[in-house]
Amino acid sequence: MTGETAASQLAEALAELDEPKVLQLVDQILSESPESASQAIAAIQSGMDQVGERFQSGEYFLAEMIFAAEVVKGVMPGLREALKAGSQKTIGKILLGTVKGDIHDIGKNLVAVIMTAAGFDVVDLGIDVRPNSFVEAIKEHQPNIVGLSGLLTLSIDPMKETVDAIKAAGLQDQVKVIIGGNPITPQIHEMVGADAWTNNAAEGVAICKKWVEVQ
Amino acid sequence: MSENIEQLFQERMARLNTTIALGEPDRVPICFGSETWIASYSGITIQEMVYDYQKLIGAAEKVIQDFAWDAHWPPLGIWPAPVFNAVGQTQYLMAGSDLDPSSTYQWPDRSPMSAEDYPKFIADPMRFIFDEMMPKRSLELAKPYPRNTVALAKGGIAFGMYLTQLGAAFGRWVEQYGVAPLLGGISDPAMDFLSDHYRGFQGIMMDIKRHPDEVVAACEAMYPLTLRMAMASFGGPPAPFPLVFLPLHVPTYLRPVDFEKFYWPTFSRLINDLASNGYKCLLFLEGDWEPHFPFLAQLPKGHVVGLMERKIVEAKKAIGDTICLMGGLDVDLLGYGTPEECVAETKRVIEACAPGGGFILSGGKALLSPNDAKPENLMAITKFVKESGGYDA
Repeated sequence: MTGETAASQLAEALAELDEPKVLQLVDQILSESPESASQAIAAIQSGMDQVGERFQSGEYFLAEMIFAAEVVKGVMPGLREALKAGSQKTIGKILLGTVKGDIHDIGKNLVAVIMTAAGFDVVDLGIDVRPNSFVEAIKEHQPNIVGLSGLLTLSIDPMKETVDAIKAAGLQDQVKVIIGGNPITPQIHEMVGADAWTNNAAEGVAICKKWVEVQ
Repeated sequence: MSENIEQLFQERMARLNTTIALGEPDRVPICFGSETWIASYSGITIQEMVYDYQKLIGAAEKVIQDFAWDAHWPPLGIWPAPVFNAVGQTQYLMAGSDLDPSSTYQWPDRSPMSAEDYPKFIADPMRFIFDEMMPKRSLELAKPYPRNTVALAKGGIAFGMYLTQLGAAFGRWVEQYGVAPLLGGISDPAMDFLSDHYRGFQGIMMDIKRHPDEVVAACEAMYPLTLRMAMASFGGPPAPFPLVFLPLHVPTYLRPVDFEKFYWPTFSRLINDLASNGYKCLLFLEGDWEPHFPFLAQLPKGHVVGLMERKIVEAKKAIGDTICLMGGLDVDLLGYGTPEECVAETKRVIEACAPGGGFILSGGKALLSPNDAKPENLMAITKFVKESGGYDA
């Protein structure tokens, strides 16, 4: 089997959530030629895109997104290692965190994996992240995008505080801010004043991709 | 009980029971899930409430006095911290000790049980829970005898003190205000129990793909315990009111085909078994349930209230002749809207959901944080429903 055929099968296997086949194909690609790791990573991006599309269309539910992300999380370190450090192209950098007062991270972690699969360099600040910590991290990491996550309604005011802190530090022209999570509605988005909102991880990735394409 | 209070109590019970049985009462009943929101409303922290039950009772009583809804929402999410401290629990984060004193408790996703444990769980869930899960979830219970036994006894005594004080207040509120708790008793459908307490959400999402047969078998093994928990926590003889509370967590993350395979068998059996034993339930239907409406339509008619987080108008059309619907008002409107906007939305929701009966006005979520509802919004909504929520108006 050529590397290319294996790669296209890999995308298909991930889209079908066939974990044993994904693992087998990744092993095969790496053992045949470590240089084809970049093809495998591209295949994983394409497979994850298909999972996202099926999620958007209602064929897959969140269980499928989470499972696919877990499979990807398992194989990415091996693929990354096979590539020479620093030779991997990224399409942009995103800073993620669950805002102050909220300790929930399932949604944020899912977004981190699919953003990574989509080619973003992801810096994850963790949970209960204070507005000032976001500001400091923006200065340090110079991301294109900042993603604020929250599950509880108590995260709404800290999201606004974080957006306000980014503006007060004069960083709003450097970064786009997207907010996401269960409590976010169009009204809450307007109140918080971020650049975009979503409570759908696949849609969030699409928004961020569009932003970096424009830049 | 004075004659006026007795009459008020009877009116409220008739209004609620008629509505739950899918009939048209005199007017739309109203009751908000005023959970930890009662702390900020009465000017105290959540930390104070979870240690000092008289403060908790005072805060709940202020809401009863000020809003006079048709039932009161018991503080199921305001957990007595001394009970958890006594056993050294490790699973939840509590106000004051782990979180801001005014934060509602939070529940990190943890998996004390591993996927390899399924055979042991399935063989004897009670034994597995006592021998392996309780010491992992509560560190004092892992200590050598007699420390583990003393810790369990301390936890039991602390829980007894909590129940005694709350029980006395609930009895007094019937006499003094003519108001009963909406909920009595709580359980978790088997798959949620497995997810919430042992495998974690991330864990169970993996298990349905990697260990599907074991998840099905574990839910079957767990089922008798979930029924027993519902009946034991209700206390006393079976009754159609108050309602047994069933918070549902994983269903809306499952495809209908997976819901049918993993969740529905033990979930529908729980509701049917409770119904045939004389109980009625309140399901907290978090998330978007529309893909699962065809299942809810098969539940026993007039025995179930569904608290809808979303899509209550769609639910009215699809399942309104099977389950009584509760909800209608989003917390973003309650917390960030004006009283006028809230009343306009209340009017719209009542027009869509009240016809034919079987509708209780409420928020789509429990009220947890100060920004989940402005008091003046709840006041305006309450006034409007009492004045204009009549069926013969």
